Amino acid sequence: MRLVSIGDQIEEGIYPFHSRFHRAVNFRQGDRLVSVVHEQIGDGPLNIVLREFDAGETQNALEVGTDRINFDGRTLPFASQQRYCSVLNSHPGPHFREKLVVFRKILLKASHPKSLTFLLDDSRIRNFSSGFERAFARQVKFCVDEIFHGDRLNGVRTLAGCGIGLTPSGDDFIAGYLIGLNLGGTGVPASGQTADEVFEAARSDNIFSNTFLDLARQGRLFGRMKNLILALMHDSERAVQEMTNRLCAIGGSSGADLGTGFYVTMCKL
Amino acid sequence: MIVTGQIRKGAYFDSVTLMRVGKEIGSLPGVIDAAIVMGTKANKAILNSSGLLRAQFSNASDTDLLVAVKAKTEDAGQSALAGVDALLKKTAKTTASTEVPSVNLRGALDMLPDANLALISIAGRYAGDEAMRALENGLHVMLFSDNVPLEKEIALKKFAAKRGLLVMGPDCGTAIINGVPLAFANVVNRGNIGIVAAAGTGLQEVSCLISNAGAGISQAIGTGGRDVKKEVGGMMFIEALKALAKDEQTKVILLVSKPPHPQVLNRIKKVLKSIRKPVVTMFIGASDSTLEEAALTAVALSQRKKSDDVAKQLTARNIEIQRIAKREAGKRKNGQKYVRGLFSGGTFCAEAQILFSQMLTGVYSNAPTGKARQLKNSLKSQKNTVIDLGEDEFTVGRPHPMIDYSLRNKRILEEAADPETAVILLDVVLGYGSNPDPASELACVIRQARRNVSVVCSITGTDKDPQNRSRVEAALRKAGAIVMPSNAAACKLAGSII
Repeated sequence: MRLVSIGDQIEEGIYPFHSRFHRAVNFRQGDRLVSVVHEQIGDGPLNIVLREFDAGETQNALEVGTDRINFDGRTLPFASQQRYCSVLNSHPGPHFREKLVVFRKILLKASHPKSLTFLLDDSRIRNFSSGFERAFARQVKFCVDEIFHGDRLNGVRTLAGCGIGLTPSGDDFIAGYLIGLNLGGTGVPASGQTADEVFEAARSDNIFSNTFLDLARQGRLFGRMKNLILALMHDSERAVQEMTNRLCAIGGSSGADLGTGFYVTMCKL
Repeated sequence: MIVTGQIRKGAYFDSVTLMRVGKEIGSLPGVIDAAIVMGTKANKAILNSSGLLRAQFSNASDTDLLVAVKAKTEDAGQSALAGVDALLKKTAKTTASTEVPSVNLRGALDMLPDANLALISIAGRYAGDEAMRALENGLHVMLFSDNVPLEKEIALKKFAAKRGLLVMGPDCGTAIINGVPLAFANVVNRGNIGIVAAAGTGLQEVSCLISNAGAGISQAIGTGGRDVKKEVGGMMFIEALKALAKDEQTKVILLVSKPPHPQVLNRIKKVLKSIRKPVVTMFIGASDSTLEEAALTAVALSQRKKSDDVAKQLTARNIEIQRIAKREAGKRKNGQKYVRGLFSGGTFCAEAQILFSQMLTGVYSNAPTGKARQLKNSLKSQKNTVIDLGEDEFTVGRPHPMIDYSLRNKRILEEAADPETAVILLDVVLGYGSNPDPASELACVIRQARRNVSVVCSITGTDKDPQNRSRVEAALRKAGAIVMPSNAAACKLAGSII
């Protein structure tokens, strides 16, 4: 195994084991998670990316030093250049809005049929067939209307936790919303107070959701989202297509749900 | 009716797994509705509004998994709950074996040591080296990538031929190997007709026509269009032909290509002399024959029917075409005198030009074949125009037109607004890799175009394709298109209306 990158939000310390997935081992850092991940997952503010990743069976703590980590009994050195920078130091280019149109189009094509992209295209609602799914879709629609046209924090509070998986679709949407809020117009976190309120309204007992919501609140982006936004700002339509496809490859519908939250927010701002 | 359920403390699953398991439970006998969700407050509210909430769920936390089943009887509900473990384990096993794609050939071989074919789809300048590595590991290669240098292609094919391996491609968009559709391919019946094709959409068309006629495919081997050129010498076309000659499941062989270089053709003919199985050849433009005729002839041979039957079938079709053409021609206004073919498949575009050259004068194309002339500006039609929208000039920076219909849809409306256009001719290619919902993307455009012109199209696909051919056909007919069973039939109709 070789360390490819280490997120800029990971501080020196010893972090106890939390959970293990096929491509990630998670460790607790206060009320959020540091993850040692497979290259396919990619860079993130709290990710340590390993080449030839092996999740192993370890439940030992993760140790992070100034220039090395200790994971599963192995010491893996890293250089300062391997620190992943999660902040976006750029501003939307002149064609940002046009690229958003491309983003929407690819999002609709590449996303899971039961993702929240029905918010972008009403016809997709037909993919929600069971009683629970129909009620879910109605609820999400109500919450999103509430966020943008009614009581924002009530909308967020009600949307948080909506969805069937480990990271509910509603939480992914809110993360996209937070990223969009932070990006609104200036490219730097300008609505800190709003973002803090939204995060507090969405916070739950789910440490996975809390982790990425907290990062989104701070404008800290994981690699695929950062690359997508950079493509929207300055790159070609082809790059936007590629980055959107990569975003949609996250989880069952997580990437697409996050993208939907981001898109809807950027269009409303 | 009862609602039953259970709480699984601290059980984590991703949403796709839970959706799949929820759907499977929902389809069990006696089950009316089911949901498997994390126990968040929001999800409990949704369960409540969908009549799936149990009082016991109030004790569950955000990180617990809730299983809720609405069933006709207590027994049906309990039986569904009892099946949840097995379904979750099954899905977990499937996920575990597929979730981590390998990042290189070595890793892939570690995961699948019995694999005997590598499908390579990476940037052309790297694809050749990766293909060579696969060959060195004893794998057949399907090389989807284009822009592989010619010298590299020749080196790969020489190396493969010496070791009894196949290199399908470069720029090989489709194949069906042992019943598995690869890249852009359709879900067809298995059967005893083997295909070798140096024409991608040509392979898709004949395999679908064969399947829709009730016969099936043993193997469908693509070679990439450059294989039959002089430089490559038809190396893989010939190797594939030999492989089908030896294949026990293959009783009839069908060859599809644009005309090979004369030297290559001679080599193919030499090999054909040694093959005892019936072989149908379809070298587009070399004769008046069509892809449809070749496919139906192969079907007749595979079913030991008389080849006269094919001729009778096509004669009856031609009478029907003339009837529809007369009806459509009667709707034309003064000045409407040209056909505008907008193709996503290069082979279809070539076949259209060959057929039109027998029926019309003044045929232009951005990819001229036969007697057709080069279009000055691909964005502007001249007289009878046939456009291949899969050419590089249209695909740089955007997905292939089989996937992304936006460019063609725009062009359809432009052509429909041209007072000289009488007919718009389209191909619709279904199958894996193609646009997942062509009907909804095309229907509104066809509906608009239909107000001014006749819209004729063919659909390449089967009812087993993810898009379902019958469903797409019904939607396009409803929108006002005239849907023909093959590209050749669609071209003949379009040409006859003029």
